[in-house]
Amino acid sequence: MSQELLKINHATKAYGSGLFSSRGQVVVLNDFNGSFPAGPARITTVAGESGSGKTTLAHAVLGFIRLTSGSITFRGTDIASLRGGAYREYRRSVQAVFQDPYEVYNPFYKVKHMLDMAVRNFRLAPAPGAAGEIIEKALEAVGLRGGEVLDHFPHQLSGGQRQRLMMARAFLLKPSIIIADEPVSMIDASLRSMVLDTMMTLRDQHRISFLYITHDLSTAYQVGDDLIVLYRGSIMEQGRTTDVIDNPKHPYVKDLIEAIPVPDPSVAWNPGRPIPEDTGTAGKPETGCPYCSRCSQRMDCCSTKAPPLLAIDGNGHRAACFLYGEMASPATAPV
Amino acid sequence: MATDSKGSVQKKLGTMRSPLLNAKLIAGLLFAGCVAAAGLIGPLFWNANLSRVASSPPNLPPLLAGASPDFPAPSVDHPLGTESNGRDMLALLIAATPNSLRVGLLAAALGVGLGILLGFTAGFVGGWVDNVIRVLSDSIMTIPSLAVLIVVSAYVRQVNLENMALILALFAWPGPTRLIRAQVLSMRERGYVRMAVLSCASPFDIMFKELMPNLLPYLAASFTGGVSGSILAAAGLESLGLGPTRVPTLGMTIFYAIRASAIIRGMWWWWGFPILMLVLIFVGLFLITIGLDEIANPRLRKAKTA
Amino acid sequence: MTGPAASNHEVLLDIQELRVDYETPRGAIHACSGVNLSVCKGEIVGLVGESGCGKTTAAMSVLRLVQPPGRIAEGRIMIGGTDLLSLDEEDMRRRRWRDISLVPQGAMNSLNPLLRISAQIGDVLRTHQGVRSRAAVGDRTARLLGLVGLPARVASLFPHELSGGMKQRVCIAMAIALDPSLIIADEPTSALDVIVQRVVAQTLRDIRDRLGIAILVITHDMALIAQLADRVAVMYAGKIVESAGTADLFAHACHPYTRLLIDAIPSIRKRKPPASFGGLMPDARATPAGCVFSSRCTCALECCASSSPSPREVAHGHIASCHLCQ
Repeated sequence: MSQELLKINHATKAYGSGLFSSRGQVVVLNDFNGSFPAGPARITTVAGESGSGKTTLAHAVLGFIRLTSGSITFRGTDIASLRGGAYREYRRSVQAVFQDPYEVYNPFYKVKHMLDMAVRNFRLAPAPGAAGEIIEKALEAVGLRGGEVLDHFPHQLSGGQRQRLMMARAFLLKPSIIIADEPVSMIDASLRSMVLDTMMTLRDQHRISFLYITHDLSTAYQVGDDLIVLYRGSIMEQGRTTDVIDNPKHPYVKDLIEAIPVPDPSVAWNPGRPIPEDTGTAGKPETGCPYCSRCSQRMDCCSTKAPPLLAIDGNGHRAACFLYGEMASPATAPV
Repeated sequence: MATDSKGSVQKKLGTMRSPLLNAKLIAGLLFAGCVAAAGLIGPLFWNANLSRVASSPPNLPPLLAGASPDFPAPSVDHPLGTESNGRDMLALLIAATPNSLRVGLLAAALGVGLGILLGFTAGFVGGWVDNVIRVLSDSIMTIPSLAVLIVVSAYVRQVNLENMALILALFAWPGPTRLIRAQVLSMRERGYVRMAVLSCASPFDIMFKELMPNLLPYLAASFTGGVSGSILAAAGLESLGLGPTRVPTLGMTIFYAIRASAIIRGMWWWWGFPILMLVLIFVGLFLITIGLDEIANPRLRKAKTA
Repeated sequence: MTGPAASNHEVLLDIQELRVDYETPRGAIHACSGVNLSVCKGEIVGLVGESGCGKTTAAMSVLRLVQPPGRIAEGRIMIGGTDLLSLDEEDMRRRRWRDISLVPQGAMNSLNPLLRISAQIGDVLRTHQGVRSRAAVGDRTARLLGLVGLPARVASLFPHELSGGMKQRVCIAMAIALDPSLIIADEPTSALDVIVQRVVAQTLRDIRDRLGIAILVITHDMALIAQLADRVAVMYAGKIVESAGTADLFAHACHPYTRLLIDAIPSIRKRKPPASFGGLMPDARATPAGCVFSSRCTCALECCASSSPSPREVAHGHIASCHLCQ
């Protein structure tokens, strides 16, 4: 069926609105649109710094928070209205891996408690003894061995092992999408690649799509197929990862890429021009482009009207910047 | 972003010593254990019938008091002395202590049980249910419980141990409710609770399989706090005469002592030993409570090893 | 590794054979076993390693801030001819912050939320230098803030009104308040966003350029260290496995662990299959007979498991502890 697997429509989340006025409201996610069509598995990266709204997006997709406006639909149905069997189906198809590989384990139980719970609740084992086999297969897919890890408490395993165990648990349910919220940021560099490799293996061999959320554009470049860059809750640029990073269009994305240190001492880390500080939400402009106060190429119109996502080329590369088609009508075709 | 917070050095430090080997907890258990033992195995060593009225010569001072012109000479048969009604103090303590403990345990069990139920519901369900429970528990906490208890007890016709426990439970539940509610509210956001939601766990499963095990230290501390509070409240009511009359309890002993002007007469052993017993119970339970607190809250533990 | 430094400046800090243990009922954990490190005047030295390798412990030892059950078992920490470990507590207290200061991990989160920045910096000035007059404190504060690139108006703000990068720079300003000759910066940029990271790193560079203060930067971010440090020391399981000038290290790393750390840095220029290797850091309680890295090393020779390699100079200013690098 050509139905979208997961579609996010104009998702907006705001906190702290007064009863009578919207002053003092903090908008953490602003009109986010995205979708996972039912097709070949892809890793879509949502990149942004702290406060960009990426974790809010993850929580909204997983149903942990309610959107202020907009909707998230799973196979055409709004997830907020799912009940019973349909809800269970949603939970099975959309799984998650979180940032802190320690916190996600209940310290009271051994780590296999987590896997057993998944097998039990989703009735994955046709026969009582089959559960062990199913778990073992899942562990294999992420490069772990049951005998080595299952009988331990969380604090006895390394961060990399715990994170891959998380992925094994997600894989167990044969989901269609895994939401990976900063899966490697709390793991040592030497163990990171293993987790990222596992993501790509799951995509290639098991056709699982990923929504990979990160602040690190370098890892996004390595594993992502598509990239969406968020800033203060709004999409700044999106497109194929190679397009956006090799050929960035939005001033924010350009600044971001320039600021990444190159691990080669002979290449100068260009200090560039001093970028004004981002002093948080205080003084956030209510209208206009969120990056306006720090942008080197701002124009007069930027502070009054928020630029829509404008098409750069025909391959889905779009940037929310008036530099690329002043006031032109936004591209309406979904990515 | 932060590096792996469970690096190898920190991991090893965390498993250094079992946190259950807490000095305060062990000391408290010893105290409480002695008290409970006195009541349970005491009758094996001492004739419990001597706690009955008119079973012994009255007004005997305890052995260590020595002779005195106001009272008959102390006797080895009654090492802790006797009181005006002819009851042996040692036998009385042996008989009364378990009763006082029973009241406390029952009241705490009822109070904490209700507290767990309401606390979980409030923390987990949230919304207006949470608001109602919270307002209720906060209001009851501010009511001077002794005054209300006196009025209620005065109206109850036949006061026995179970009635007392029930009455005391009325005021024992707000504390545990607030504690559990606060813990549940914070634990709700934990990663493993989220994972359980993602695994389609039912609210019941989440509450009792995920949250409850991690709450056990708090529940235990809450329970022992409840027990000591209830015992003291019971002793307070009893010493005013509002306790059960058919069974001996520590508080009622104090009441009879006061009513017979034991203080003026200088019969300190009549009210002194029950008070000593109550102090022992309280100190023991207190040590258990703070020992459990230290287990539950590792931050208190760290302060010691610095 | 007290080999000649890449630059010809005089040696400011010289850590020799530092051994730090954490005493536990089940045996001592060797957080640092035989660390040798030197920092020259005006030099930025990077101490890199992953979590649990002992780099923070080594840094804390310099300031003698290791808390029990940690214990400095052996070694000498020489500054200007004096062994810091031989000083008594009062002398050490005087030297702390005046000669060596520290920007600890997560410093920006430990600013007092109830005091304005001027009060907090003023506190440092008043306590250590007895600066009394408000005008003098105000002047010095403004100068310090200027040195870290912050406008003077920041002094009258509260910490919550500043961004993460600004708070971190305030902490750096406090560290340079007493003109130390060395600053130890523990993970100065790890909780910051990329653009702000660059600003803070640039600030550290500016301080070195303008005030000649040497900086010991402790981090797990190899890319950052490539751009910031003059010399790099790589630490693994309590030992320094390789140290060299930055350019030399990145171009000619010879220890397998260093090579793998460098290969593991994800590149933003081209896609490549990332290097990955399994295994964990060895049990810090055991003292393995051979090389600490041998259990994870892909190029391990037979001798690696039985004999621990000693540090040897493989090139001018480049020292490595590996049987393969001879």
